[in-house]
Amino acid sequence: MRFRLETKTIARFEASQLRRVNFLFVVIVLFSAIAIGRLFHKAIIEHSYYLNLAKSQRELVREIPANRGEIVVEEEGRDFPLATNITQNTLTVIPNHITEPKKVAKELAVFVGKKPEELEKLFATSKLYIPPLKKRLTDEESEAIKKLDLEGVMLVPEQYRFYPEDRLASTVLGFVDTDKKGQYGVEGYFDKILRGTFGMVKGEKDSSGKSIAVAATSQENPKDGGTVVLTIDRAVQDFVEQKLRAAVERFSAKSGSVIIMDPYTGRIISMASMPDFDPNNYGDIKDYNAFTSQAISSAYEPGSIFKVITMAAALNENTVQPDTTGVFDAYVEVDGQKIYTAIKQAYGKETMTQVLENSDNVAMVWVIQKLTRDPFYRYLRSFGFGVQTGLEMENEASGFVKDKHNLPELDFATTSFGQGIMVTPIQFVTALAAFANGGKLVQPHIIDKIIQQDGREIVTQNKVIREVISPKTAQQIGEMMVSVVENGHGKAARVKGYNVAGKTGTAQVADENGAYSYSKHIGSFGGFAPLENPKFAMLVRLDEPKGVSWAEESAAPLFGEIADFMLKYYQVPPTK
Amino acid sequence: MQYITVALIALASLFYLTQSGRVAQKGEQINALQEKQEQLQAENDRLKVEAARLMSLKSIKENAKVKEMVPPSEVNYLPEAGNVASK
Repeated sequence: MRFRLETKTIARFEASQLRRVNFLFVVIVLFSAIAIGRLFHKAIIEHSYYLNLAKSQRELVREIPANRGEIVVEEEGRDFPLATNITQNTLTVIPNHITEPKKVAKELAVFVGKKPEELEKLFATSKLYIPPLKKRLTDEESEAIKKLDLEGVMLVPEQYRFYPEDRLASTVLGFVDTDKKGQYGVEGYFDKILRGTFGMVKGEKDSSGKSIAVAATSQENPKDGGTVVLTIDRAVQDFVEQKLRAAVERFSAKSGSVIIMDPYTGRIISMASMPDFDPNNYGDIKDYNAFTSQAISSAYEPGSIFKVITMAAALNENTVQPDTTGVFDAYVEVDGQKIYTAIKQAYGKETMTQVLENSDNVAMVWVIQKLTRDPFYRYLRSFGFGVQTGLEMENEASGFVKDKHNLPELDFATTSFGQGIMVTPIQFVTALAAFANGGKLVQPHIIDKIIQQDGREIVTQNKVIREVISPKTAQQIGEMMVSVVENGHGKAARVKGYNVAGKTGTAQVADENGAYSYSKHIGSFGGFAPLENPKFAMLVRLDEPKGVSWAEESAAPLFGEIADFMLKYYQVPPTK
Repeated sequence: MQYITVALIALASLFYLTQSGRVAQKGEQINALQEKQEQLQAENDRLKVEAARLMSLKSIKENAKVKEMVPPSEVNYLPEAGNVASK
């Protein structure tokens, strides 16, 4: 009986044990399945995420910025930078690393220009990051802050563009914006070359984030930007800017520009525009037009200065000679409209030289009608009007030449004295250079060479685009322009002891209603000197000068003043 | 035999530890030298900028000696004919 009872108890106990084992087995299987599932999820599905996480904990990837190339001018074999780089510190704080906010706020307030209470309020945040307190600290400020040795305060070095000559040639240079991108001028045009390419260092870091120097690293060095060498002469540029600024102020002109070119090579010796700007503080500018060089980006109706182009074309076609004579009235009627001389009086009997001296509109209509439409337009294109010159700067305008086929006779007639055509100063000075160099249109350029970081040099070659007029015509038009300066409207451009060739242009500008204004004009003067062996071709332009009616009172004296300096600067002995 | 094994393991551990220490020390030295190089580079850049500033026309014009200079009132040129210099 007892035995039977024990057997029953054992059997019950075993059944219970089996149930427990089975239960445990199911639990283990379930947990294993969950564990395997999680493992699969982490190791297979989220593999790349965890791999990157692990890498980021030990891997160090750092960008090495490239130094932006300099923009320099060369003088006697030495480089003088107009644009270079400067490293300045940025003052920044990590709020939750600051142990003594009151002290930090009090010490930094003087550097930041804020009250200590304001700074303290700024530090009372749970954010890891707040914007920098001050950028571009001076060396003295950086040293003083370093000495304070404040917890949670950091000085982060950053590279900035620096223009040691301040405003000098600012409209040629442009500037570099906060994204380190070149804007306007040479900075904009050559941004890719100047910027270079950044490098990269890959290695391992320790728990404090410091690089483990002996661990395996790979480094791709940055390629610094190339150096751009300009053709600009610093001394001439400085003188021209001084004189142009003074003239713009004296005549309360809206703007002004001067270009000086070597007529044989096309090298730009000086290019100045007013208003200009300080590229070190370009954000202070109010008129954004100051960023662009008016000398290349602003096309205008040239007015009477254009008469030399029409006359040169007619001379080259043998339509007229300098001593060809005509008798001209106070006006000429074209398409039923009367075109008057500027003084509304007849000049009577004139040679072609006198036509330029008197700047006679009526006689110029006679010249262009003798020349006829097709040859005239061929010369316009040949001189490069209506297309960009290709100068290596941003925002060059192409000007505007009307379609000759649909042009009314009246418009054709007025083009002879520079109305109904738009030109840029750079186009016009290039045309003047052709008069000075014996008739060749040269490629204007402001880049002498680009020196790449590996030392290779890309030198700009002087280039003759085409022969526009014969050497004989160039000589004739040059002599006629000297006569304009000696006997005509260009007397203010005379330089004692030299034959200066030049021509004035007083161009009317449109008023608010689209009609020609009686009160506003653009005064320009273009020419070259000395006639015998020209050293430079120059164009001076003043927009809306006040208190004067003609370019001979505004642009011509400025031309004369600069020409006098240039002839002395280049030590050109007197020619007469 | 057991003692020899323990001694070998101890020696290997000691060697590993000394090498690790040396590697860490060299690493520190390299980091310090890199920092020094960066500092010298920054100083070089600063001096270059200072040189550019001093060579600028603005600085030259502000120079006391230059301020005393006056432009020439008249420029004379010698005629080229004949010898202009004697031996």
